[in-house]
Amino acid sequence: MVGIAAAWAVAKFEFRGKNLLISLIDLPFSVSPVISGLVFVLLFGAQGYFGPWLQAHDIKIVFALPGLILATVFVTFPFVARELIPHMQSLGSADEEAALTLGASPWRTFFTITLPNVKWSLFYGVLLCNARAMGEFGAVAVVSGKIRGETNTMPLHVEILYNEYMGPAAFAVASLLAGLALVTLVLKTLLEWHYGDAIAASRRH
Amino acid sequence: MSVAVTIETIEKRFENFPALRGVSLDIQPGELVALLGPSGSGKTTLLRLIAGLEEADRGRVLFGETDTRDLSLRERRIGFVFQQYALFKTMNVADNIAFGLRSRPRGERPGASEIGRRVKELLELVQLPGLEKRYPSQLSGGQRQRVALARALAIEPRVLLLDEPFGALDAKVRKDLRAWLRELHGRTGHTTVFVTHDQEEALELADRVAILNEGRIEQVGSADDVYDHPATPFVCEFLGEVNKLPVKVVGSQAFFGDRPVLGGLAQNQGGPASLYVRPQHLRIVDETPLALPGTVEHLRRNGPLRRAEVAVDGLKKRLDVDLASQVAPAIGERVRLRITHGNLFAAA
Repeated sequence: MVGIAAAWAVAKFEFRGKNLLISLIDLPFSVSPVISGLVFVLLFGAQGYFGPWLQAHDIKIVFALPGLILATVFVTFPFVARELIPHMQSLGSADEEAALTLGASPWRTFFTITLPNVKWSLFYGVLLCNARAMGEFGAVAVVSGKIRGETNTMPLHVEILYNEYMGPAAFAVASLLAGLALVTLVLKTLLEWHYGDAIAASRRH
Repeated sequence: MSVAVTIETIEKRFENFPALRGVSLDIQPGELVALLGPSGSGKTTLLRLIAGLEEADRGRVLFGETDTRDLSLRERRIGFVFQQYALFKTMNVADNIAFGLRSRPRGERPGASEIGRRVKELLELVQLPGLEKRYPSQLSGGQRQRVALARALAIEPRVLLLDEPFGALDAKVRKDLRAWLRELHGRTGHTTVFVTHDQEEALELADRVAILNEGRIEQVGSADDVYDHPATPFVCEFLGEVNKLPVKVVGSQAFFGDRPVLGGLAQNQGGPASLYVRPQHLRIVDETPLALPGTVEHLRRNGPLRRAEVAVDGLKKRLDVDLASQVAPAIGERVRLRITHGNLFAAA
């Protein structure tokens, strides 16, 4: 969702700070996931900037599910944004303008024109996102606190099991993960096979 | 319902580029007006301003008595046909045309059967019956253009705006569509503004033509007005081919060098001037007092037109002469040219 909003803003509008936003989108690519995890701990941890405020309102982010989601979003959203920006830019704004002159509201325009136009790029981006999210280790490892059964992801679980000398279990989970990765890969290939034209069109740049 | 459109001293800048510099234009209800100009003259910007897709820095646009700044895009009710048509690729033809009707607020939205009826009606109007289920990618350029027009007409626009309506089509389809659009306008009577860089298209199609250059309107008038009585050298050069001669006006005569070439001038402003003469206003004649001697250097044919290029002493560019039904001279022949009609502008 964040990726869609960012891509839409970058592709369809001219505004000050646009270049800054593009750099920010690329930031997760260049920053090590472990560091981004640490940044989240620094911001939202008990001793962090927002820590006292969060505690006062009884909101848990670090070492809880929201932290996991936040870290994952941070690491993965460039995939969607990067996938959508060139596609949206190549489409231009004429379709949206046409919808607006025909009397459609901005919301209706977005949902009936903008989104359907980029749906294949969007699927593709989500798939990449998903792949990355499943395998994400660094950022999540720092943020989650690895509380078993609560804030554990599959790669973290593999590590825990392995450290506890439970080799077979670790490998079992790892195989499961590998299986999921294969499923993703198959999906991606299917998608490319079926809608190659649409995706190619979005990657002309 | 068609409305009059009044454009009052519009100014618009992009970054540091002035796109429109004080443009005013009155358009009558039901009139078909062409905005004609070279690229970068501001004609498309003006069209988008009328549509409300751009905002003016200064000045305003009125629909009838209403200031359009008080209207939302929906309330303006304009039918805009985009240069590349901007048909919705993910919808079929019927959904494209129905989009405007379905986008109305719930209270004003017609029922499904009513929408279906309207779509059918519009497809018949644009002569594409039975194409409801096709997708834009399955249509030819001319068909897409007509679907785009039907979509724009579906919302019963008060003003119809067309951006380079025939720009992306080949010459043959263009000619057919031009005649068809003229006829459609006659039947529906929408106030229509269209942008073009093709002077032939503008002159043939429009009731009035507004010629833009560098963000200003150079002249507005009927095709006959602007073609026969251009107000500025730019209009003269932009509308069709023209020969340019540096002359000096003394009394009621224009002199090229020391030779009188055109007499009986009413606007004897005196002094140096430029004389613009269209190829069809040069005639090969026998001896006459007001004639320009030259040598035929080249003959060419462009469809039905035959042209001679005549070199004149003291003039760098050869003069284009329409031969029409005249006997063709031979290359190298000395001829005399009489100017039957010309436009004089004081030298800048």
